[in-house]
Amino acid sequence: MSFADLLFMGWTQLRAHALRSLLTLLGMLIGVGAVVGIVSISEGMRRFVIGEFGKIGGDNLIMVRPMMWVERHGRWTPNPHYEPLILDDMDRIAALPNRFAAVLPVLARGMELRHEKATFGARVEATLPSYTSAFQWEVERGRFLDERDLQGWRSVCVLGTEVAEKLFGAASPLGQEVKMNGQRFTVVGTMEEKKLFEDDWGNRVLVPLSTAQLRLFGRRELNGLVVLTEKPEDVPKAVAAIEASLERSHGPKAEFRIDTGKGFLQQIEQSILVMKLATGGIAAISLLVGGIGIMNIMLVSVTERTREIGIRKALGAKPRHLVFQFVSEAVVLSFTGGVLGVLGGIGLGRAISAVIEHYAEVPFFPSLVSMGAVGLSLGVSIAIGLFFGIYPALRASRLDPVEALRYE
Amino acid sequence: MIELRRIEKLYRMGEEEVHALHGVDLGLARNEYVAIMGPSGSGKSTLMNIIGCLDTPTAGQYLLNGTDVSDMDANELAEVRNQQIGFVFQTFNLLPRATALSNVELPLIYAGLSRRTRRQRAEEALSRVGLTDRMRHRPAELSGGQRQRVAIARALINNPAILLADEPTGNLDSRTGEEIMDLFAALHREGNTVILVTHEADIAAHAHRVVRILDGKIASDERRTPR
Repeated sequence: MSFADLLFMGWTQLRAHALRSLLTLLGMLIGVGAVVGIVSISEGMRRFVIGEFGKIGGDNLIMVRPMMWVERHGRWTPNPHYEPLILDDMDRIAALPNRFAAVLPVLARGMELRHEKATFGARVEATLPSYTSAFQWEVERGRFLDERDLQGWRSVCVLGTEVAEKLFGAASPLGQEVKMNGQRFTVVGTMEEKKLFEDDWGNRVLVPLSTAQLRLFGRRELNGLVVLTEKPEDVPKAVAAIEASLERSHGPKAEFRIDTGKGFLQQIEQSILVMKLATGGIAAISLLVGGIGIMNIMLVSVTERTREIGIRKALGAKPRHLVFQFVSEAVVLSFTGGVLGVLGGIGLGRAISAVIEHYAEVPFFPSLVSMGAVGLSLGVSIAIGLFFGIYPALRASRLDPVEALRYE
Repeated sequence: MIELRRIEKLYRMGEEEVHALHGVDLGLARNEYVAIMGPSGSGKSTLMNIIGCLDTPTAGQYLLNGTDVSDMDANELAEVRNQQIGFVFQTFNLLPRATALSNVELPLIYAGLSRRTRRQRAEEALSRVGLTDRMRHRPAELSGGQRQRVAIARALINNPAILLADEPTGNLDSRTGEEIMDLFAALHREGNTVILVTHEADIAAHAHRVVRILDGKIASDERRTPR
């Protein structure tokens, strides 16, 4: 009795009771489908987040922010040791011996821009020339801010796509003037389109940091700092150096919040892991139920086919032949459930990603079928068939041939 | 070839202990055509089960081709049934979902033969019983006589030492029954050993020797010229 014979026999039996078999393997289908679907979506989500995050520095990113509020005994209270982050901090950090790819201020405010009769509420960001390379956001027309703009406190600006379109329509904004906070700024360039997660950067206006502090914001305080290292491995040392630098200038009690891209990604990975574990739990229950269902139907099948077992024994089937036969029927049943579950799971993942893309307007949110999850699911399906099929199969093999042949 | 020595069979039916066979002694030579007769409850079914190695005696010795099969375990008995015994049942006992060909192949699966050899030999066996054009039919698509022919082809496929037929015409009309009996006679002429278990005298009349069982004992054993 070859392996192919066994599989063929199992498959014939499954098809002979198509509806019953389908209902029996539903548990397997749901369990495996849930795992494959959710794992595909979480993988897609992970890739998506990592990809989006990569656009702003990814693993190289370090964010420094002052801590105005702290959580004490479960309540948010003003931080008694609050120290503002100032321009000097940025200069000191930029001057550290660590080799940073960029050190940029975070200083932005919503402001109304005016050109002739058109107005637009934009996000005005004060920044440095290294901004474009750090955030991989390129100029479309004209030029970006340069060192001379910074040194000369020039009143120049670069517009995001949406700002340019709302204020100038189809006309070129280059060399034109816009007014913000009653000051005139000359447009020297426009940026290409960029989206990060769901955030459209088209409503941004970029001005030189020096000019912004002199003419727009009128303060030395920064909302935060963005530091980019050259390699992800440099991040821990960079964080330590930044902490040390801040402590030197603000004293040991001052608190700043330092987040890293890696830390953020780890948080994401962790929530995805939690999601996977929760699904795994649901799947385990569903697979257990599915397995019991298979065992139940196999016991029914053994009873129904007592006479067949008697005939097979009379014709020379050894106990092990019957064990193989019934176990392989159970495995064919559970494996078919697993395969249908994998297909259903892939469909589920695709459907969820389509729904997310449609309603969340995320441009591309893939569902990634991981071969590991598929392999594991199919392996577990086979194991369940083996485990839950063995008892009914042993019962079949132990039937007395005389009794079995007499069975009506 | 078959030697039964002081075979005893006791079994329980609920609380009651049934003494089905009381010291049966029986010897059968190769190429004999024997009918075992007896009313229901006489022990003839028990005797058939023991001769067919479906059951083992409580006491006594059973030599089949010189091998003692009285104390064999389930695996060894299965092998003996597969290689030495060909069963033909009153109710045919074909697998309803399998084609005639697949039914005839069954013993060869357990003999461990390859798919191709199985196919080939099953086709030959079905031709021998005159069912060349019914190989792909399922039992439900065959007449009673055709079903019994499939069962006989299946019984013969492994060239067994004994063809053991239990009321083979019990579910057939008399004409078809005669046809089946003619087939047994032909198989006997070809050199097969045939054991016929029946309670009908005119069926037993085809045999060359009639053994009557009554109350678990051999009541008579006569050789005769068949009709």
